Amino acid sequence: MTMQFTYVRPGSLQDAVSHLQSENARIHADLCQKPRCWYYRGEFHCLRKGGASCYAVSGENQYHCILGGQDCFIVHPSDTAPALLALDAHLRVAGPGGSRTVDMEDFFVPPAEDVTRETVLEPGEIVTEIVLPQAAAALRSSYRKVRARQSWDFALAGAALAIEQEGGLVTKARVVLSGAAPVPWRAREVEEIITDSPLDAEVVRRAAAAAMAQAVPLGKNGYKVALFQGMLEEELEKMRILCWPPEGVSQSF
Amino acid sequence: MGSVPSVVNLVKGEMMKDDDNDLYFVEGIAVPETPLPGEALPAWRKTAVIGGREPRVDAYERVSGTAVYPSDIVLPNMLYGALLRCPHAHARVKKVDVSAAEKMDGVHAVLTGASLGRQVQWPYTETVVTDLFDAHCRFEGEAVAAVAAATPYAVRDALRAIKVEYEVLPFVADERRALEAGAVRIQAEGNRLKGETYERGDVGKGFAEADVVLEQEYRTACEIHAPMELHGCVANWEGDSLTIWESTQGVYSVQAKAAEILGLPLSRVRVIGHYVGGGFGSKLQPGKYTICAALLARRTGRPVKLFLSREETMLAAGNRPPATMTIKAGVKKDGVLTALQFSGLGSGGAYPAGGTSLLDWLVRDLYTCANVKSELTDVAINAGPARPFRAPGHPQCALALEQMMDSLAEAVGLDPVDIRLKNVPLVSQAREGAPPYTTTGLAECIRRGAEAFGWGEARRRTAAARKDKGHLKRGVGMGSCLWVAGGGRPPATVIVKLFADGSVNLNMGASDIGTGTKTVMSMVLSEELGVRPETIQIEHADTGSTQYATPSGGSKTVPTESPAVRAAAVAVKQQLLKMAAEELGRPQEDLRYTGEYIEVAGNGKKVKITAIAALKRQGVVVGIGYRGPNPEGKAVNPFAAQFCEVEVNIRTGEVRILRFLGAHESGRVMDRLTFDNQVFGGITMGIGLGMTETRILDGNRTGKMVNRNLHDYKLPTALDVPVDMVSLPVDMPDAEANNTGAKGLGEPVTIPTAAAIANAIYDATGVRVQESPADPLTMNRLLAAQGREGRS
Repeated sequence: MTMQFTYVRPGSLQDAVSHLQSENARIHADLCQKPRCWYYRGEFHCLRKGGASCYAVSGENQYHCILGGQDCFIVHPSDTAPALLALDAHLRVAGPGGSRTVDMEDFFVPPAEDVTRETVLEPGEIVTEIVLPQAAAALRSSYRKVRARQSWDFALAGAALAIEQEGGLVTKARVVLSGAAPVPWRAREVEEIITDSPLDAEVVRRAAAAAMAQAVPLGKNGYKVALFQGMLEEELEKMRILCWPPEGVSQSF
Repeated sequence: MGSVPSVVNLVKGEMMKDDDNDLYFVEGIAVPETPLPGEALPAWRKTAVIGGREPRVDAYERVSGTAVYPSDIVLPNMLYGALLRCPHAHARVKKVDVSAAEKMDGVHAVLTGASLGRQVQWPYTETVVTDLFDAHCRFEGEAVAAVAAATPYAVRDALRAIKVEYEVLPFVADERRALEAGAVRIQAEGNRLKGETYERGDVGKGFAEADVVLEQEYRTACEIHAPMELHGCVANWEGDSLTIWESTQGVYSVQAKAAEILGLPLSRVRVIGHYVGGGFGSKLQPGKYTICAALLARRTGRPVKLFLSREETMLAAGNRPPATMTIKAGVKKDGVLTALQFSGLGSGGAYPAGGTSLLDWLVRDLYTCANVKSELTDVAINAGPARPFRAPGHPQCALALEQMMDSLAEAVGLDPVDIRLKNVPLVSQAREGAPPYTTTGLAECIRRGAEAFGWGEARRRTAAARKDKGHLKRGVGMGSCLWVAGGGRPPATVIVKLFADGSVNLNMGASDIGTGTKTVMSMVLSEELGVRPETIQIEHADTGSTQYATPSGGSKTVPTESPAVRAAAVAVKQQLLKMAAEELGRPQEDLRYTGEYIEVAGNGKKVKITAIAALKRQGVVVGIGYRGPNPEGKAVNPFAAQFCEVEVNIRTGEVRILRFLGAHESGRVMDRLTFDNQVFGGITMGIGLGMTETRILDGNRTGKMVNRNLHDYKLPTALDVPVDMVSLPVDMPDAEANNTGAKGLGEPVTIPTAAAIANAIYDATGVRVQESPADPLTMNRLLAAQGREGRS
């Protein structure tokens, strides 16, 4: 049987979600992909595989995390998970013991908690549903990804933005980074700075800098700090424009 | 060639009529005059087929999947072979225990250093020879044992069941640290494998005369060979004769090395390589895999197929060596170069493998300069041995030299195009006696390329935009080059047969590595004989049935083989004319071969080729063509200039290539389609060097290659290559070079690409791309450094 695919490049997270409403649409959510760390995947008996230490911490760590690393310095490979987290999704999980609901926020396990697992799924459990709340009319969203080549690549740095504005001020913001940390990473510092503020140049600059304030680069991934800051500035500025003109004036994007 | 009957029609017999001689001949095209026997072949003047756009003669086979590549070969009773490889960057094998593996179901043979002993030696070079399974493993991926088993799964299971005890040794993973005191000694004589110096004139004097002197440092990362078809072969013995189907660029070079290592006469080693799924230098020679397949086949009495995995290919099947370079240059205010000084450090891995091969050639020879000095140091590191990689040394050197040329131009207030045009040489200064080039299209490539690209306008536009505040910066850049070889050379022997029905067979030993060799040679025959290219039957790349040829590499296949093909075609025509002369009772000088007929000049009398009685009697006319010598005291090289435009996001370090133009002079354009394919392919590969590719070794702890797969080793994808790519041929038939006037193209197409991108990035941002690849990792580092100092 020949499978027919329609390729779409969504303009925003909501746009992507709207495509999922069409018949036969599927999402490759990439929630449970094992880490892409080349030490983890390669012939190295690393900490995550039960070995004595992390090879990346003093090794070839150009693609590794700058936030949230502890003992192990993987980055979460998913583009979709940060987007779903930004949209405040929760997951239905089913297993031999029955079904349960897990908030996206609680789904991923950082190495600081348990270096041998990536999610809260128990043996035999699978994700059966992704549930998204109804989006507010004022919601504007985006996903940006910077990579080393233009296709077939994971994020060096990425960000999912879900932002609502009213009267020129941000009223609600969820900003989630990919390529930054062992789990999809809520940039709460950014959210706090931009909430109740206009997305003007000064706020954008401060917010982008704050996103990286806690960053601890390893030997070879220091470039990610400037990269994330530059990317976040660009994306937040776009968000300001996306929310123009202010409410009450019709627009179509 | 619009109304050509398809081969399918021919086979169905729809066109078959007794007197229908145009089955194989083209109507209405003029074939060249046939010189009398012994006369030299004059250059083609006007051509009817050559220079046109001829699709690949094997396009259908390649696209439909009916082409049988060596990796497609399946023989009755065939076993699968595989190599056990050392997992350490540097180790000594203490003990290999194969007892469990040998007992496994489906395992037919296991070879180790202990079982082979000193019987089989592997020549890394003429002087560096080791046991085939050397206990001293100097790089990750070195062969330790070989297994043949009934299935591909069984053989991999058997490898896992072999227990090896290693003494893990210290390693060096970076060529810049290979000569440090205390670095582990990889080869007995030390890690400095080769030093090379070159000097002409007096650089001290040259720098003193200069108005501006600049010095810069560069490093290009190691690139890994990644042809679509993996490296390997199928080996089969019949009695004492060995047949090898190998994915190779040269069947005769595989034959020679296999025969030498196995102690067989050449006549008993037949190598066949009809198709090859990509070869960029790494398939010029056989590998240990070839020898192991032959030994396993001998041991088991069954055919053995041994193809590497992608991971093994990346460890052990060759690379473009990393290069660390310093370049210093002096220039007068008017743009005339006064001195060039270059030093290069490279490593071809754990064995001498051309770690700095040709790394300084462009500095020595691309631009007119009286005072040149260079110094190359080739060192050993614990990494897989290099193999020639499309234009060895040249793209690395171009990244340094071509950025230096732009820096000099900026310093003296000249345009990059103008400074290069100021220094175009007409002689090869680096060769003994400074011989003139037969032809040089360097200036034409630069001039015509700049014009077609809209260079002047684009430079004004990017300069004007420099004041803009936006973070998306546009820039344009260029690079020019020559390629050290590309003239081709003897030997080449080609046999052309014309059968009684007028159909033609071409027999040559050369491989078509995907570049269109078979197509171009068919066009040469078509041009000379007036036959349709697609009806020519080709036999090639088989040491058992085709003639000796050197491997397809060095951009030399067209200039080497096409003159021999032309000579063979002319030999066929001469014999037909002689037959017709006897039949018509006229002297040969009065007759003219026109394709379908031989005509008597002046009186309209003619005889159909297929009606010549002697041809019918004889059944076939066999023409043999040889490649003649190259002109004495001349250099034959191809030239090029490439131009591109980029957009750099200075916030994120992302570089987007917006458009590319390659202006190439490779003598006569033989087939415009294959010509353009080479240009687009070369630029694509150059984008890999410039933008995405780098071998990453775990330098601190293990020395192992961490990115040995096609995801982590980043070859450019379709989206990394601009849609807007232009091939601009500078068609300059080189009558002195050889009888078809063609020079090579396969390598110059990738030489200036990375340099042109780097120069465009500079134009956009003011950042010099001192290291490859210019991915966001590098660009963010460079932009951050600039941020501290500001755009100069």
